[in-house]
Amino acid sequence: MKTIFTRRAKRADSTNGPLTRREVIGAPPPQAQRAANGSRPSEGNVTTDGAKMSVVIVDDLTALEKHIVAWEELAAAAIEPNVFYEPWMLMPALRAYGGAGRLLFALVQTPDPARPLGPPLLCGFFPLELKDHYDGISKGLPLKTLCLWRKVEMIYLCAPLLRAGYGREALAAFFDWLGAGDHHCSLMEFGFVTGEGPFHHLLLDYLNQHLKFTYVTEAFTRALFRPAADAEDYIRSALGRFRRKELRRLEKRLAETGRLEYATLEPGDNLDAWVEEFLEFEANSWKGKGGRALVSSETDRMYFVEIAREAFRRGKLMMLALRFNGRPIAYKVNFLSGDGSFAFKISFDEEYARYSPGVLLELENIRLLHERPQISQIRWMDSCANPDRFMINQLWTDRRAIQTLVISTGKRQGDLVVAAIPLLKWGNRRIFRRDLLGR
Amino acid sequence: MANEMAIGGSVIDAPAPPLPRASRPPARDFTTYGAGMSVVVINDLTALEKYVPAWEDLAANAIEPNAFYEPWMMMPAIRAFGAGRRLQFALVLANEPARHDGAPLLCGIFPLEQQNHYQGLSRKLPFKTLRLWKHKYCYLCTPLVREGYGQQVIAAFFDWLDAGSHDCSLMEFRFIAGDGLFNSLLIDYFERHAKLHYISMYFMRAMFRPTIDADTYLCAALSAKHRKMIRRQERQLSEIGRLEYDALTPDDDVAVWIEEFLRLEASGWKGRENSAIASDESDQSYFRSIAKEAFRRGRLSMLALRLDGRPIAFKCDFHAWRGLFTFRIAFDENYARNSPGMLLEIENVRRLHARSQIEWVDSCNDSTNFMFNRLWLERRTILDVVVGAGKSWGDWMVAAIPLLKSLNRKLLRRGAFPQ
Repeated sequence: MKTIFTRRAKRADSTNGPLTRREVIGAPPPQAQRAANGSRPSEGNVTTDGAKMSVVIVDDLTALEKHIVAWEELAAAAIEPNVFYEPWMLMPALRAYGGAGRLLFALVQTPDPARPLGPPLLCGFFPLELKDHYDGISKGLPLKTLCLWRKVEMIYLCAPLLRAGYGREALAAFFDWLGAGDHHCSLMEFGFVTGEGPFHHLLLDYLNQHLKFTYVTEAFTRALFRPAADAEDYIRSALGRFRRKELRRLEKRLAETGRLEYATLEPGDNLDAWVEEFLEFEANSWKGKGGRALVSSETDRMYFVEIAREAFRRGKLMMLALRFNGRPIAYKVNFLSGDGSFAFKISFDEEYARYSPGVLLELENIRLLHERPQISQIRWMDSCANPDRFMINQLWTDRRAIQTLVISTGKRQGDLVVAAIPLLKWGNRRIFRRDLLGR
Repeated sequence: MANEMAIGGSVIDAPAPPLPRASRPPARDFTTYGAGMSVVVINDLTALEKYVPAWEDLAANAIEPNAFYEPWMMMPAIRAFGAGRRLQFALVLANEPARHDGAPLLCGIFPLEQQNHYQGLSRKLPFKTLRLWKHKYCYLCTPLVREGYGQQVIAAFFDWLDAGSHDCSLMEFRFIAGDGLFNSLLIDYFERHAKLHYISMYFMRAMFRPTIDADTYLCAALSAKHRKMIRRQERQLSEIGRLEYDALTPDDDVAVWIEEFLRLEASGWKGRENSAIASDESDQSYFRSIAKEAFRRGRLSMLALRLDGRPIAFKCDFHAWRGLFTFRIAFDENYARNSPGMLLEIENVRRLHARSQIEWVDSCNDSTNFMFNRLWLERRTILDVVVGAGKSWGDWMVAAIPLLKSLNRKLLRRGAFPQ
């Protein structure tokens, strides 16, 4: 694959600021096959064969802020929504947690066909972190690695944003930039990306066509919700008759002993009161005792408050509470994004554990997702839960595969390491008796 | 052990799974998964026939439908293409005393072929390999697994693999759907047991899922220019003679349709290259028997484009509950200018939208089929996954395959996949 690599002289372009701009002009994909941009048919007819893509690298947050408008617009037109990489969620996360790492943002752009003289159309967004070691194997290998940026327990999905109708070209341009080697890294790790769906298909298609060395280092599935014909139908297929009966009985027992109510955050409500109530509630739960609640760290608390406010303002926040005599006994926070949604946090009061308040609230969540007109355009909700979470795995019948794959950027040692990773892992386990993640 | 298997129907009780060195703290105990399940290995046809009713029932309750692995398609295939192959069927049975007739419940079936070599690399490697059996006309190898028993079936199958009585060191899950529940179960198992595995091949093939209506779908898939061209091609054909789209109905004589289809397919390039069904006697009889059986079960769908009564394009699909597998398409090359195949597929999109019970259609084509890739907007991934089986060097092999592949490619300049 030929790449024309040009380093442009600094332009007196006030809109982009005095930062280093590098451009790689990607060759159009070698096969003149029509892009297979899947799932959103309405976008399918945008012909973009040979669209000229360029990659702009931004490496500081103030510079990135100038791209927010384009980025917002990209997020709304993405082939697959990822709320965690939308600007209103990612910018606060970067400010809160991005300090230590060396960050790079690869923005893939193309001239806007509708407005040739206007600003370019942002077609791909890859937030990256530069690491000196590849740590997919027990001992960090001293190989420079680019990773999709992630904060554990805050960012649950790292699928980059790609514009519908331009996905194939944007991905090819990104790989051209990777191949040009300007970043001096030999490995690129796509961590925590979807293992199915449009992004995955584009990635596999590219890797297949270009015979890239790649290895899936980790894969797991997590529960996914997809609506059925109606809520009753869904619950009936997910739970057995006895379990449904038992839950009805538990609900009735609670309602007999006190005032039981399901509450949902409405547009006119006082958000701050809800957020404070949730934070306090979560702090008193088992998470709080283990130091894992949001209030356990001031940074976490501030981050959550900020994204909750912004999501609420945009109508993308869903908060549900189960209250008993006015006090919450279960809480759930979801974020919405396009036709998808993400379950962010869930918490329940252990004192009431024998009434399964968490499950009762999940059932309410299922009913809302089926019946609420404002949110009934939701086609899926990602549980963002660990693969071993029993309750949600039982209640939500679909699964979504999440995987981490590592790809050589084209340098020789990168190719070798990607090909040898499984062998290194095997040796690790056999010879050093370490487990697969190297602990 | 090998002797025992040759008798057929030997029962190998699943031993308690070894405690895995899992990377994450498990929420549930592993030990119960394989319990209560046993694996029966069968390698002769008469023994297998006894299981056909149970197998039918399993197919109707499978987590993921696969028409190619149902008995009415598989049994004729064994007769037609199984000769000279070392086939064995691993049946996973649940011993549930609560069942009324006391017979164990068939919960999983894995049609396997044993080979002396691993063929995933350009040079054959002398490792005995078990692989899901894929014959000439089998386009998907996802095993049938009973709903509600998924984890137990996979665990029992891997316990059997690890017990090593099959004498092989590698197991290859070939041609399984990457987006389905079976693959989710595999991923779960690999993750929970920290099992090394390698995806040795993957590709995407076109898939159809209906949208709101046919017009919306076609507008999304084809440009205005292309739609106009297709209307013109259709009009030109109808000026030549009486043009009609004709679907097989339950009252039709299926034998006539089958012969028409075979004749049309053999008249084209497939016939010239001897790759038409009619080019080979056993292929022909295989196709006739599965098509007739599918028709009897109401699971055959045939659609023809006729010009003055003569077919100029034909397609043959098999139903699998809410899904449909495209088996074969054929068209008359004399009319290639008018794209009869494309016209028929467009009509098919219309009909699929009108029949609301169909949720997906698998094109069963390779990743390069231009027409399907263009007309059908969705994709499904098809994977080959290799894991170690039994012998300790199986794991080692799985770990080494990527390196061998890369050496192959770097040093010997061969393609990544054997051609």
